[in-house]
Amino acid sequence: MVVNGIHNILIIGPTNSDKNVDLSTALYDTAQILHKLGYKTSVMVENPTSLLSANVLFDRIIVEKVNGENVLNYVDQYHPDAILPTVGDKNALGIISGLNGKISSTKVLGTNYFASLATFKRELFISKLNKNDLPVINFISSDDEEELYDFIRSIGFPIIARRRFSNRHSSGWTNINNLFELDNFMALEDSNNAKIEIERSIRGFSEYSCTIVRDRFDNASLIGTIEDVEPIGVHHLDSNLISPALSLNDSKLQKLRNLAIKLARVFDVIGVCTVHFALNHKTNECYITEFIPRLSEETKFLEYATSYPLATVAVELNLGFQLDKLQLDSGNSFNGACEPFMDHITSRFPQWNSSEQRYIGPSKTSDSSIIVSGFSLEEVFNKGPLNDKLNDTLIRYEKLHKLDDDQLFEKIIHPTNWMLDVLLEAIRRDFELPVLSEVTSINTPYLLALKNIKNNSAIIRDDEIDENNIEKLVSMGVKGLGYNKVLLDRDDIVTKSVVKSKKAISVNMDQITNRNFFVTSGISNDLEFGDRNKIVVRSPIITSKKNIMVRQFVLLQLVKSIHQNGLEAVILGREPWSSPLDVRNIAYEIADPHMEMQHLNLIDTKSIFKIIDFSQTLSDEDKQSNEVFQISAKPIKSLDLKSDKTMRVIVVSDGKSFTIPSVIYRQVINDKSYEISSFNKFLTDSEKSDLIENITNELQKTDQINTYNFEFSYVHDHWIITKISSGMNQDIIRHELASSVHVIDTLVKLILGNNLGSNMSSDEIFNNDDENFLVTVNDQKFKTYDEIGLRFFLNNTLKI
Amino acid sequence: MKRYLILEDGTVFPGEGFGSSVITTGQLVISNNRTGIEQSVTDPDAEGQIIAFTIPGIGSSGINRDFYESINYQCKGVVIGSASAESVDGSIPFEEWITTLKIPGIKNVDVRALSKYIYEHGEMKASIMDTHDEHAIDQIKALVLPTDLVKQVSTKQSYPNPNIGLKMVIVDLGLKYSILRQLSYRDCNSVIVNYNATPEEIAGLHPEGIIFSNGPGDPKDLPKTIENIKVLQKQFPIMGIGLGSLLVAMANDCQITKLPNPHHESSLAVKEVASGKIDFVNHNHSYTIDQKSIGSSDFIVTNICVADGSIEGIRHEFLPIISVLFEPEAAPGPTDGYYVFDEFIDLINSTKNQDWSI
Amino acid sequence: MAKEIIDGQTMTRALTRITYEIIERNKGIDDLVLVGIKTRGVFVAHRIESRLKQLENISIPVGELDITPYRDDVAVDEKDAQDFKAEPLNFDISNKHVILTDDVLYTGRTIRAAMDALMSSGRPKKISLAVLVDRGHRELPIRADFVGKNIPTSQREKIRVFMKEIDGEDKVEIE
Repeated sequence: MVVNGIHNILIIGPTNSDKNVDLSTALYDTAQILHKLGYKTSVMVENPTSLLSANVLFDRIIVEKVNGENVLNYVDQYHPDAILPTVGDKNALGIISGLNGKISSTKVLGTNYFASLATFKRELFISKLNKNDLPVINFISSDDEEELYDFIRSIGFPIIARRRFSNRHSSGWTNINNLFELDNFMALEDSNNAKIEIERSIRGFSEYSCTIVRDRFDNASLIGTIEDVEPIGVHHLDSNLISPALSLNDSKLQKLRNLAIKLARVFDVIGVCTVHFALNHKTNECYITEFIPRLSEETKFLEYATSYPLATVAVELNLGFQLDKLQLDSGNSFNGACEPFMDHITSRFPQWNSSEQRYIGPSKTSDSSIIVSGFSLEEVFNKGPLNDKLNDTLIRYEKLHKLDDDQLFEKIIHPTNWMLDVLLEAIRRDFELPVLSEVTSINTPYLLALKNIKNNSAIIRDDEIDENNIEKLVSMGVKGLGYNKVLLDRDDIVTKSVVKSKKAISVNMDQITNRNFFVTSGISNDLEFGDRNKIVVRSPIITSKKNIMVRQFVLLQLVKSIHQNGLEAVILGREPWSSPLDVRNIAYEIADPHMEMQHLNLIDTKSIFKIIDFSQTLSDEDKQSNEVFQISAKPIKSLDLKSDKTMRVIVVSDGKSFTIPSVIYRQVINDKSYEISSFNKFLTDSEKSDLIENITNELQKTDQINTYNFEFSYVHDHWIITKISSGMNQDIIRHELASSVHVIDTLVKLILGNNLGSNMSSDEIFNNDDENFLVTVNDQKFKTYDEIGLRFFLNNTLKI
Repeated sequence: MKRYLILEDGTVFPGEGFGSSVITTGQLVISNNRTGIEQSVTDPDAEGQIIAFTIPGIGSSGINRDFYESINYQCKGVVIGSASAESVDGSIPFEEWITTLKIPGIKNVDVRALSKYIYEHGEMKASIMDTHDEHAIDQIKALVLPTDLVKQVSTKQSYPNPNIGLKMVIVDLGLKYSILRQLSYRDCNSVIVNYNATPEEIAGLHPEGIIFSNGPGDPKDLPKTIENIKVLQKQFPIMGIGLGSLLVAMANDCQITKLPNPHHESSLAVKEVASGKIDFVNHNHSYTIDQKSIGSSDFIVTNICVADGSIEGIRHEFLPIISVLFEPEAAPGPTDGYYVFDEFIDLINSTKNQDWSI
Repeated sequence: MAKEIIDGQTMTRALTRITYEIIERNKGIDDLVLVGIKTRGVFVAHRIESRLKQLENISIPVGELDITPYRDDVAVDEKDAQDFKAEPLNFDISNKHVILTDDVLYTGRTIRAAMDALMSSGRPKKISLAVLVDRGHRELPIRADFVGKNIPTSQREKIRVFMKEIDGEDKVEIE
């Protein structure tokens, strides 16, 4: 049943680039199921700290630049049976498309050479689709001026154009509506025979994407559909996304579904495949704009939205499993032949780091995103992009309010990242919906939802909340009303804030177990707790990529540790945590954008053992309480001393004694910086007692359980403390990943009441059994050494 | 205007009324169809039913009156969660459409809580009313649902759907127009007859194949039709769809059971036993054929539902009979099931030259 | 220029339909034996057998017949070969209903040789013929009982059947 002869697999992992989709959870799930099914895996990554859980799941980790050359070298040296590129973003597909004929017997799973190449070479994509009667937009890629202008004459304006450079990279698409803009584009500096690619513009068409899975027996299932609020012309990931696609009626949905499945068949994609469409509701024109035969931002979003274990299913299908005979671990069989049904809306709203308004277009500019669930469009808008805790909507309102009608209209015609706020302001000024829809090409139902929001916010502003309108306001996800006194005083069955499961009730969904919930409005809760004691973990919204990794990592370790120590973990956050599959049915995960859980009293306070909070600042009430443990890094002391030699040390204290599980040593020599993890074994005895003495002095004042980060700098022949912070900072991943000592698990055990030993010797304090040591050069290049190799390195390079 | 959906055991679900303001009672059915409101509401299977749609944002995709599945719709009521008053194609808004159909509706209901409740307690009667006092609840309990649903929806007068191809007679138990669309597409020359048409009347039309359509209600309420099938199957190739296929099974001594979780979804996986191929098709049925009785009958099981293993398609071992419990004509739902019509036509063609009649 | 006239899905459905028809005609699957001819006829037989197994939960025996032209140095196009010989079957077919399977039915000469081989291996109760494609132009009075698709062809055209087991994909091309 499964494709024979595959025993070890090389997984092409992510590069270090910030532009990548964060697929760390998907990679973890992939490695986890392969491990459980008995495959041997090796993974090639540039930064091993980007793996959520390294040593246990992978048989080999290759730290190298992820490119074709290194992959080929690995294949030549180790002869893996198969390569898995689907978790490595665009880069991995690029590598596959360059490997044709060079890897003889090694199979490529999921997507083949031709399909990978077609995601880069538009001509190939278009010709294959044309040959198979799939609707696609005609396109030209050429450096011959005459050919280009002939083509433009034949298709007419509007068009989009970009330059494709010889290294396969390209500039973003530019919209060209007339001769003037065309001349400007053509006049731009041309570098080294760049080809120009031109296509008919489908600007203004509605954009949809369908994600399907297909097995090698040609059984295919539609997992989810996504609809963009903004039309084609704004990059898919800069648009507000809604799933399921509400505006598709039956015939359009089946058309897109059939086209997506046919495309996967045509390219013989076995596994997951996402197909993007442009659809014009007035003319019923429909085009396939691109296809993505790998895991991506869309699959990550849909995995959370539909509760379907997409990453796990995808790799099993890649290996040749049949769609209805899958496994979620080595015992449980799973029927993947279902088209998940969602009875609520899940949406993804892009976020920008800067608070300035900026223009958006066909190239991606957003930095991160937040995910919100709800039962109506008004609700997801109110909890997401119009949530002032996330987007400073009040400030935006003030700025937009000052613009006159013409200035506002300009912001409507040229889309910005404040699109919904701009439209809301326009609706406040009674701009007509049909006109707005015509100009922006945003479908009317969205504008209507904004209008409903505007009508109801007037009620709130004028403080006219009463029995008659409060239910409506609650169902629109307006903050904080769900437990309002007006509601609580009524006997009637009313709509209030409740917690619902992400799983819809359906014949199909019985077998999908997870404990993902979200706060919304309704008449009853879906939440049912077991009777074990709980630890509640509160996690805030995080937008920086590094911090997202830290949060992912720490939450995963926390949940596992809490579970292993016999308690239940409840994760509360403004936005959901996309957890790996194996913790999805052990941890309760509640998405609570307006932080209403506290007022809902759904968790019996007696059963809450402790609350762990990730936020930077705690409320005064929390600060007083013994129940809340703050885990985020809080600076305690900082000295401005520079040195070429520093050590960053993590200390775990139970209030009386402490251990130092992990030391990161950093030295700068000849303009190069070297950072070494798990340096414990290489410290001299005197260094050890130095550190211990310093730390003991500092910690005398506290009797709390906590972790501390100390930075020591070597100044005037002494180690001096230059920084102290409590909690966990970015180093936690390095400390925990590299080390045999589990910092987070130790911390949880301490919170649960265990103690560290007293009167520990210096060796016991620094105890660390690691055998592999990670060295980072210039904060970019990573290399691992064993003990002998590291001693050699220390002797020669660092002269220690 | 506040209204209430009251279940026969007294449970109340509040919401906001729209559509017709009459009080209505019917069999409550939870439908997880992802699209196709027009088809579901006009489906004759919905006769006497109050349908609760669980999809969010109903109305955004618009109402297309070309998608109707019958002319005389008899849906008793519609229960939904969130709705949108505007659509992407500017067609008639959903609420207005329900009003023109004179169907009572209730929106902003917590459909999640409702479907969870029905899932746990089984399908039951319900009513859409303006109050929720004791009196109202007693009224519902007292109501007996009609057992002549098929009689209400079946065409009184025979009518043709002419074309130049295989002659088909369709026995109308509440057929969906999409069945006729699929037959037209295959050039079938069809005549649609009342559910009580006698074997002589049907034979007199010289059919090359007879189709027993889908329809509302309990198959046990149609003993005469079952007898007719027993006679007709000896002379003509037979195809059963939905209710029709349950009758075909009963005409051959099979038992019918109620499904533990009724299938009301526009996309559930069905596996073709012979080839292992999985297709996604529309389901709208609460009954299935009992597994044990199939074993002792002359049927082979051709399709099963992947999610719960129930029988979805059967075929007779030596008589030319094909029967499916799902809706091969889709509308709404994936079109993977269209092949069943092709199979029936192949069956008719291949039996023409054979001597198979008993 | 080769043109695909039957795609993978159609081929699969045709095989499923043939399976149902076999069950119907035979009124069950008692005493059934499948014998496949040459390379692809054997795959056809195995696919029918696996369907029968799924439907009735019983394994039907599958035999193979290797039919080669008497003159081995000549191209194996039925029209050119003089006559065929077949290795006798080492397989009990007495009193069984033998279903002979092949991918393409053309002149009928291959089938005749197959029948000779069958008759000399035992005394079957009945022999039926199942083919994936019937392309016409019979030179002997032989007809197929179960046909996947009837495809009218001119004598100059060539039909090529691709099967997953040996060609990596399922389809039928005409050239």
